[in-house]
Amino acid sequence: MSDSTTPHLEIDDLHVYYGKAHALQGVSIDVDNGEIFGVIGPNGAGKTTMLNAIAGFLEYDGSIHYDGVDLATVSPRDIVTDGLVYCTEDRDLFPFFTVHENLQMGAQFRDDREAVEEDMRMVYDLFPRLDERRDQEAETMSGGEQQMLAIGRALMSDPDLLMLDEPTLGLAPIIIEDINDAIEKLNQEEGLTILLAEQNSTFALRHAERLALLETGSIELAGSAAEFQDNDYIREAYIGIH
Amino acid sequence: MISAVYALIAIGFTMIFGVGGVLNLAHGALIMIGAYSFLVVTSGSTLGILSLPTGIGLIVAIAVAAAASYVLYIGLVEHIEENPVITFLATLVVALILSELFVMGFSSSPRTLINLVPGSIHVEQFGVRVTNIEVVGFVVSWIAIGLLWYYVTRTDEGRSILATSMSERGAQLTGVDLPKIKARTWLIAGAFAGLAGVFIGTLQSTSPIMWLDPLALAFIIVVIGGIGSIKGSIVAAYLIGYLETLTVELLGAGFRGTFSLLVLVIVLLVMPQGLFGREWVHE
Repeated sequence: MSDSTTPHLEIDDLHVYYGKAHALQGVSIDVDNGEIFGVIGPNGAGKTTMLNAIAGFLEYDGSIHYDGVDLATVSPRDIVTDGLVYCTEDRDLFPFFTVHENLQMGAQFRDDREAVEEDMRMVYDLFPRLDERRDQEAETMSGGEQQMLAIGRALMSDPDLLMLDEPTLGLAPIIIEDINDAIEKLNQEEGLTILLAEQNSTFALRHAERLALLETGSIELAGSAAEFQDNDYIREAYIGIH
Repeated sequence: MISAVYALIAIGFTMIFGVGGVLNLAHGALIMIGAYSFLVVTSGSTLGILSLPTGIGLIVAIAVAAAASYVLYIGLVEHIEENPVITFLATLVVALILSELFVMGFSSSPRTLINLVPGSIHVEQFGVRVTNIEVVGFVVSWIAIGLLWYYVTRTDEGRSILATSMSERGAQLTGVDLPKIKARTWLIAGAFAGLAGVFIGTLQSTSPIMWLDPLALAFIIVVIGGIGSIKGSIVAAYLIGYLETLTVELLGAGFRGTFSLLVLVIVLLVMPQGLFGREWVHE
């Protein structure tokens, strides 16, 4: 655990290029221990690119520090085992594994079997739908259930910081409620730090204490949830209520 | 009976494809390495003094083929696997080089392996004679397949192999050590090939061209069973195994491969994803 004065995750002047396209143009954000940090912005703004860079899946310029460690020096695997866990937009579940096997995979690198058992109970508790479908193959489940499973699998890796990419994309409102409650509970009861990337600004504003607005590869605005709610541009362009 | 041995070969081939996306054309050469390792340490004539018991020979064959497979991955394939075409050609070149080396070292004429378990059993009811080596090959192959099945479905490490074949990104997200898992897959595939090599070498032939038939067979079985599917490999191995036996019985040994190819063409036309080809669908 880091002490409270240094940020949990510190991204400084991050640049990512896809060939000649400059996808991220000097993004800097700090995520503090125990908070929910929201990154909002339209499709194609670079939210997923940023998360992919943090997870070690992309080459980048600039620096990313997690608990003081420069992530450029560690492998994607070490990033996961050190507690920075990524739940992607595509979910990347194991389609022919059952719910239970997918969850087991999330904990495959952990040795403390008792803690794993406990986390398994916690996840089934958090998402009773998964509990009902333990033996169902991931592929045959609905989008909402798959999203729950993806979050559940990430939780099985015992994260300190969870990166969620578009957890509400394409889901029915009633399912979004479930995801909603789960995120609230994880943050407040388990003290989990969450970096949330969302197009659904309303959803992000509901949870995040601080946010950043990412547009075409750079941060256009950063501040507290209250500041975002009062900002005219945000209200008009992203929330749509006046 | 030989079908179980075919299954061993096809499983190794399909696992490597499933996990790494590599079509390993040197897979047949690993079988050859297994057979010749057995020959060298058991025959007594090849290395003069070495004439170990056949049981130890079998273990040596497995170990040498597994090691060769591991070295092939770490030393070569790992560095080029991003490019499937180069990998494809490189493994073919390795197979050809090994074949040449074996011609130089052992001459091109076929050799006879010492039978692991000489003799045969006569089954009265069916009026057929089954050699002991076939029975042992069957049993040992199934034990190996059973162990593998237990490993990939009941342990975290083994499950990671299956998981990686379903979604490489998913495996990365769950902290799977991809290089380690891939290397281990090659090790297992090599061990299976070495084991199969001793039985193929005894039952069919041990020669520097013996790598070709099993490789073609592995291809056919894997395509029929569904690329990347272990279950499919087993079922298809039996299908092809019985078909071969039947063809040889009814039409003669010259037609051994013909019907397998016919089935291959039919499968490709009717169900290109194979019998259990679901993993492939999601690549």
